Amino acid sequence: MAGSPQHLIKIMATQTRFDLNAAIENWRNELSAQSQLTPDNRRELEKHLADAMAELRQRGLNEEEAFWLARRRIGQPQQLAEEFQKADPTKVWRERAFWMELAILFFLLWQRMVGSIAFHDEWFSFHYQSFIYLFLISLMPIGLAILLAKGKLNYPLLGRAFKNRWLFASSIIVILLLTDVLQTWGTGMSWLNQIRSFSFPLMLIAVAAWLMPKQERQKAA
Amino acid sequence: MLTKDLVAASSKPLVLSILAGGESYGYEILQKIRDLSGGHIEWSDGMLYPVLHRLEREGLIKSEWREAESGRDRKYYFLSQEGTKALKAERHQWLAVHNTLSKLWQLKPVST
Repeated sequence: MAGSPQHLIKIMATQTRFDLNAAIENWRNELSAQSQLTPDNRRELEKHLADAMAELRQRGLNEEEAFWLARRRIGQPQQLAEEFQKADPTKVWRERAFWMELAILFFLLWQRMVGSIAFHDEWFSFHYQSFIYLFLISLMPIGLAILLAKGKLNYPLLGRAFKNRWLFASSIIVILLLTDVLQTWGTGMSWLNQIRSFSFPLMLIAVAAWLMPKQERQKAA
Repeated sequence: MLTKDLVAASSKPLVLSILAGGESYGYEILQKIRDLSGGHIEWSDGMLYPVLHRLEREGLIKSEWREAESGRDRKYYFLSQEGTKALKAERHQWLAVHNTLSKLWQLKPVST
């Protein structure tokens, strides 16, 4: 029966079926391509699209129609980005600086942690220490690259991880203290050196907490 | 339909006035404007956000991400103290224009 008209119609029907998730993903990618739009901006626009689509669906439009109309009403991503940029020219750089600070901070913490594990004389013999250090230290950028490539590292995920700046700052300070305990275990480091080794990460934490973009909070009762 | 210039000029008093009636998010603000103007003022959806962000930068409004009862999270905007003051000034100016035009066109003036 292959090649009969009925069969043909079936194929066409399945091929042209609208995939909402793919369409939204596509739109998201178009927005991400606009460097002037911050993750916060994109999230706000996404919520808007969802609201607009829900209303159009209620009015009887099908999924595909609702998506295209809602998308059209929001506007062209490029034009949108230009308007957003005009409204707050420094915001993009504030947010970029935040992510850079965060990356440096995490690398620093990782380095301290790895250093204290790899150079532990009782755990590893002297000959292997530098190899273990190199191996462990390279895990972080490789791991980050894999997460980024797979799209697992996204803004909502990080947003949930740091609900507010005080929680963010205090949890990182705790990690910092832990790495410090590991590092100075029994070495009798002087308090002056302690402060010195703390000052740079503490400054990074303060700047990152200050630059941190607004996060979602639970609705107050 | 309003001209581009008038849309730009009127966006500030419109947004501030809506937020003076209680906090709101982008989609809801647009709906209110569409309904209240009887469809005469129609903003392109995406253009509202730059306006909101500009007002936030000027300190007239503040924002916060919050979860609505429906479970959907939204960025809510609300008026700051400075925003309330700015709205007063805007109101004064717009009513001055309105009253002048009303007199010229022999319509009934609105009290300030």
